[in-house]
Amino acid sequence: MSGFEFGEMIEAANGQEGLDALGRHWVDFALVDINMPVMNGEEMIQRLRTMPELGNLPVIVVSTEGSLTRIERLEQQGVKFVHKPFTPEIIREIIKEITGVCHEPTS
Amino acid sequence: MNQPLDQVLSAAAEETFETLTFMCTIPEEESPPASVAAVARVAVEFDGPFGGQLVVGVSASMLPAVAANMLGLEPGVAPTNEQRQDALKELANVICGNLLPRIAGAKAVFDVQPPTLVIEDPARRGAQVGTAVLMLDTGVAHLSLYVRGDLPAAVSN
Repeated sequence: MSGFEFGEMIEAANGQEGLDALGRHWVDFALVDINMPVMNGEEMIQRLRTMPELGNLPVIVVSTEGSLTRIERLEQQGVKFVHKPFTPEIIREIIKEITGVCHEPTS
Repeated sequence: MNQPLDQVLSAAAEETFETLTFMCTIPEEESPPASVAAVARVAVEFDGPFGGQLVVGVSASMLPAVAANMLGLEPGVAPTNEQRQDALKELANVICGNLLPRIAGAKAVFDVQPPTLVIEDPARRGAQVGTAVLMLDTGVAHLSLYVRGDLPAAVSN
């Protein structure tokens, strides 16, 4: 719905699967939820930032999270936060911002 | 001023339905006959300064439209059963996420579990402290909030 032409998208059901997948695949950015089973998004991002090869990976957190305390903690980890619900335009602009890609929507 | 939890719950749900599914509440006299039995219900467990559960149910007429609107499906394309279930789960997730800061304040941190479908009456976790019924242009939504522990003084049930 954002109009972006994405290449391959890799999905993970929780934070641990996400870290495992990032260890196997190179990606341009990660979209991460917070409330996930096994390992939540906040812990996943904390671990990500300690990994030399992934420490600077652009991360967008997409969540219903309403706690300013947690949002501030996340932003200190260098992520962009998008609160649900959001429009396709919002996510498109943030993707453009963090990837530096200048892309016109396809629809 | 104490604000009844019913009102807080109703406001959070109305906002979420409007922004996520593009459905608005309508005056009760204009609404279709309300079905008492919800076709699908979802429970969202949470824990933090207090713990509990939010249960969201929608009537039969609403669920396909909820899913289609959230997914941006083309007119005439019917959502699959899986899409309908996922849409209801996500709707409940967003309502819960928007509700809890209204009750506990913007700095409180909660852990919210992935929503689960409720086939039978959900196991109660704590006392029922709030209910809301939304009359929407496509059907009826029922919400119930259960809480264990003490609620902030600014909110009453």
